[in-house]
Amino acid sequence: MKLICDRGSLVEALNLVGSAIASRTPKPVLTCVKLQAQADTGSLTLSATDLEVAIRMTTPRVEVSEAGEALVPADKFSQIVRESVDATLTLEKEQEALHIRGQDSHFKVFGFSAEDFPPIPAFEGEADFQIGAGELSRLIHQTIYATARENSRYAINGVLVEREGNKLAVVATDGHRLALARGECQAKQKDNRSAIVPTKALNMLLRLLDDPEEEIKVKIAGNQVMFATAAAMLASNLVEGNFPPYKDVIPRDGDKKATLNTEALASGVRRAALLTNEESKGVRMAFKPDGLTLSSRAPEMGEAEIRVDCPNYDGEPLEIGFNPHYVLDALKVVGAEQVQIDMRAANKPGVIRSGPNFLYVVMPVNLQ
Amino acid sequence: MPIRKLPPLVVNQIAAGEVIERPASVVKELVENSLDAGATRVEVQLEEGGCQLIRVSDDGRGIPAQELTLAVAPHATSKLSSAEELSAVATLGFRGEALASIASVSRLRLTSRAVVEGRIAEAAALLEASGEEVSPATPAATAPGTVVEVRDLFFNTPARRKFLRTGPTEFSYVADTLNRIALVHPQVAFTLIHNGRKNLDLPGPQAPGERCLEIIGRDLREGLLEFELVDDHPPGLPGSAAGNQGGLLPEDEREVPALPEKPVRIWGLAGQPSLARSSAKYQYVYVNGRPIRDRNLAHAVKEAYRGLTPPDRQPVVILMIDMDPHQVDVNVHPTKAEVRFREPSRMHGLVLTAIRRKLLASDLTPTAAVFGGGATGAFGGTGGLPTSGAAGGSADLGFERAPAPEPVAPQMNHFVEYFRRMDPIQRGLTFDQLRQEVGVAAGTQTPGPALPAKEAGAETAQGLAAEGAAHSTLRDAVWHPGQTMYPPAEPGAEAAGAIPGGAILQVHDSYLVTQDEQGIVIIDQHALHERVMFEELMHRVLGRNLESQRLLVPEVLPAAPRDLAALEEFKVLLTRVGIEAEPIGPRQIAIHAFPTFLFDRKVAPAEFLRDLLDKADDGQISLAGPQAEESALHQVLDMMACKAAVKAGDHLSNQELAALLQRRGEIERASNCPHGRPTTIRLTLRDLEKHFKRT
Repeated sequence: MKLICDRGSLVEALNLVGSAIASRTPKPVLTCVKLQAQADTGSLTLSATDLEVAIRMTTPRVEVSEAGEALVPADKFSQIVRESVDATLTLEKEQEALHIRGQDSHFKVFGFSAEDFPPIPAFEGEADFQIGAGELSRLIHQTIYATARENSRYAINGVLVEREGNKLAVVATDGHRLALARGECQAKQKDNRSAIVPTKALNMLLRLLDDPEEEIKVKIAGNQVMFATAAAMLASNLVEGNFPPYKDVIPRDGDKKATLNTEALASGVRRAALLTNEESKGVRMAFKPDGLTLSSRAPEMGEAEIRVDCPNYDGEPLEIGFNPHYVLDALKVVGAEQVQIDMRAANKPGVIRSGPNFLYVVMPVNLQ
Repeated sequence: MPIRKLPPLVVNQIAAGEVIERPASVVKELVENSLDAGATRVEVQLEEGGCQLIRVSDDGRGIPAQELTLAVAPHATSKLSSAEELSAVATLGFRGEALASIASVSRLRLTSRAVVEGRIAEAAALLEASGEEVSPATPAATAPGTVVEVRDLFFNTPARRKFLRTGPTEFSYVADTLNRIALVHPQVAFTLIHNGRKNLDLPGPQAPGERCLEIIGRDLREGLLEFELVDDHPPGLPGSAAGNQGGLLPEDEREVPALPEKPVRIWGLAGQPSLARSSAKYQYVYVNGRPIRDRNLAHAVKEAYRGLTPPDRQPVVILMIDMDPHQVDVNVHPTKAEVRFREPSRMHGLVLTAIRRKLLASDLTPTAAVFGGGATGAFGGTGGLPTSGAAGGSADLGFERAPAPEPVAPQMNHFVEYFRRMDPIQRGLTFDQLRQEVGVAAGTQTPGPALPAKEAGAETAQGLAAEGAAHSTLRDAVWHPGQTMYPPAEPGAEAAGAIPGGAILQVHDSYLVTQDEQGIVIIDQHALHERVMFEELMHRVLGRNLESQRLLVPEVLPAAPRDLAALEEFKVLLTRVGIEAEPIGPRQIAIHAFPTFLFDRKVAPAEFLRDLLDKADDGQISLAGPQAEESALHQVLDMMACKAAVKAGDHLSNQELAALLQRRGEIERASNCPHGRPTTIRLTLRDLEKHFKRT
């Protein structure tokens, strides 16, 4: 294998591919990135995997003089490429070592036999559906923060992606709140299918979605999901288990409705959250026809009270406590000037929504 | 119906109801009689699990022919003659009820050839009793000793008979009972024969450890640690003051007679944590040779293993206590399965100490040697702290402050010494006192507990810290240089001689080592954090209910009917601590809300409630009795604190270390965790100087 490549493209590709590499693994090949130079297409493909997630990225900004494959430790290779000063680098494989040459530099890095690398699935056949990168990115952004971390119910450590025809619902929950984003896609397969995608894979996917106009192809096969852009492919194992029946926990009986300015509410909640602490983290929201009062109290620290305009609150006065971070998480991603909050009682969930495409159920905190 | 006196048979049958429940109870009573008669061999023969026949033969003193009739009369015994003796029962039996009770519900045949003053009676005598009928004694032939045959148990009380289980089940109860007795009488040979097949054959005499292995299984040999503790230290004497303050002996127990009494001797085998079982069946507790159940001691055992076994596992422990019979009342329970200690908390403390010390001093990797010449071998080399050789054992516990004087040769004396010198650790750590002593002297009244050093000690202490930082040879240790133990002192204070910044070392991610003005302070991070959390929760919950987060989907856990009852009983308490749960259906509980801070600490609601209900089931958390509400609240908060606190093995960042130590100065009772274990031990500069022979 021998080629000259554009250093900038290589840095970019390594940054994306590197995120799949397992940080601590007993198998040294998993700390490596696999390089494949194709003479016919004149391209270089980089792949990495931690056996849960695999990513492959192809760059055409290379001149291949000899096709071939190499497997090199990713951290050293990345450091060398990043620290180099040249516009282009020459990569050449000799036995299992990779030579990286710049104008004034020559590195020889020992690698492994490329055959030892686990096979990375290819995106074969037709996609299940296709979706604009911008739309997919929105769906993920609006939900991913609500996933549980290290919960013993593995299913909720991932994000549920559910397709019915051309409609896509993306759901995440940690048992305290639930975020649901709806969107459109172009289905290529008739069968409806849902899958729970690990958070890590979606975080990596977000980094591939830099061009909002690009169409992303998505395919679920067996226990894997694959996302393909023009230059990259990401495959991930799915989370096994049953996602909680999310439709059942979305209340429809909220008779007390408030419409608020998103930024004003977020600012108020942020300020009220200043006087909360570990044992007393709830912010009290008192809704009255003349407005919303946020208050908080941290023992031995102090108290806060903030008023927020709430011009058309509709219902009996209600005092309800929420974890401010949960409220803020949703307000950060609604992407709308106004949000509507539906509530029923102090011990019943609140629902934050904006338009038909975003809905967020948040369970209250008992403040008494 | 007029009131009248019950006929003797009915009286005996009622008494039998208390004592004789099943064949196993008969065996227990008869074997105990054999042991009280000084037998060296006891043979138990059963048919159909004892439902048809129980025959217990021994080679004991026997019963003289003329006393046979009396032996089966109620309240007749040779073991006791006056009420005074009742306060110091030295025999296993004393109530004089067993034979009478057994005779009233079975067909009993008693054959005995007595040995009086070394002379074997020429002939044996035989007596038969069944219900009300007692035949006169007739001559018979047998070897010296007594044979008791019990046939057709409960033949005249059909209600009882109905409750008997199948032969194999009843046999298993008998076997268990006999095992429990045989365990503590290694000098006696036991044989158990069921339906003609020999089931158990224990030779006698055996060494205590050997006998234990014989019964609980030789495969456990590698995992058992032998512990022993002798405390001959009468709690009423003035010399005990230090011990009392140490928390082992509550002061209100002091008015016991200061007669020279028999020391309390605790011996036993403690299974390594890795052997722990899911049931407490492998815990054998004896007092003066009598198998007992005692919640207090069971708790001490559990406490000794705290942090070593998961909450749902029960350690394998054999515990034998030998003590002055005056100090324990056995006359509280018809089958004597329970006893009452005069000083329950002292016993708790001694048992806890005996086991914990052994555990702490042992390498708990499952290859430690047992049954060595003494426990000394296991003590060496684990301390890591500069202590004298003789003090090695107790230094692991950390109570010791004064360096050991001369190495005390016999280990017994050393244990006694250890109790004498147990230091009241609270004394040195009371915050107010410290501030008064130190803060005032240096003229700094900072709100936080800034502790400027006494000038004399400052240089040495600083030097020590610096040296430690330079030669950090402790494996896995991380220095956190520049971390102040307390809020930064004012700039002026430094000039006045304060320690500018005590480094904090986290050793094996479990202990924190730092300095104060008196020397080196070693902190158990879990114990301290637990105490800190507990105090904060307590403070919070007295004001209002703990804050709780409601759940989107309730967490469901399976529950038995008693769990549902406990849930109902503890409802108010649970609400106070932020748990909202209710039954759904007859076999499940749904948790709707759970404290926010426990969620942050990744405590799983269902597991927590399961533990709590189990503790309620065990009676560890109870709402019965005076001040029960408060103590139950304590228990629950302690559970929360324990689950939420950092564990041994958790790595702490510099900020976390500093924050934890700062809070140590801010809360009360920081010196001990909520269970009374110390959170902190100190090695004073004077100790160090002595050990390094600088004085």
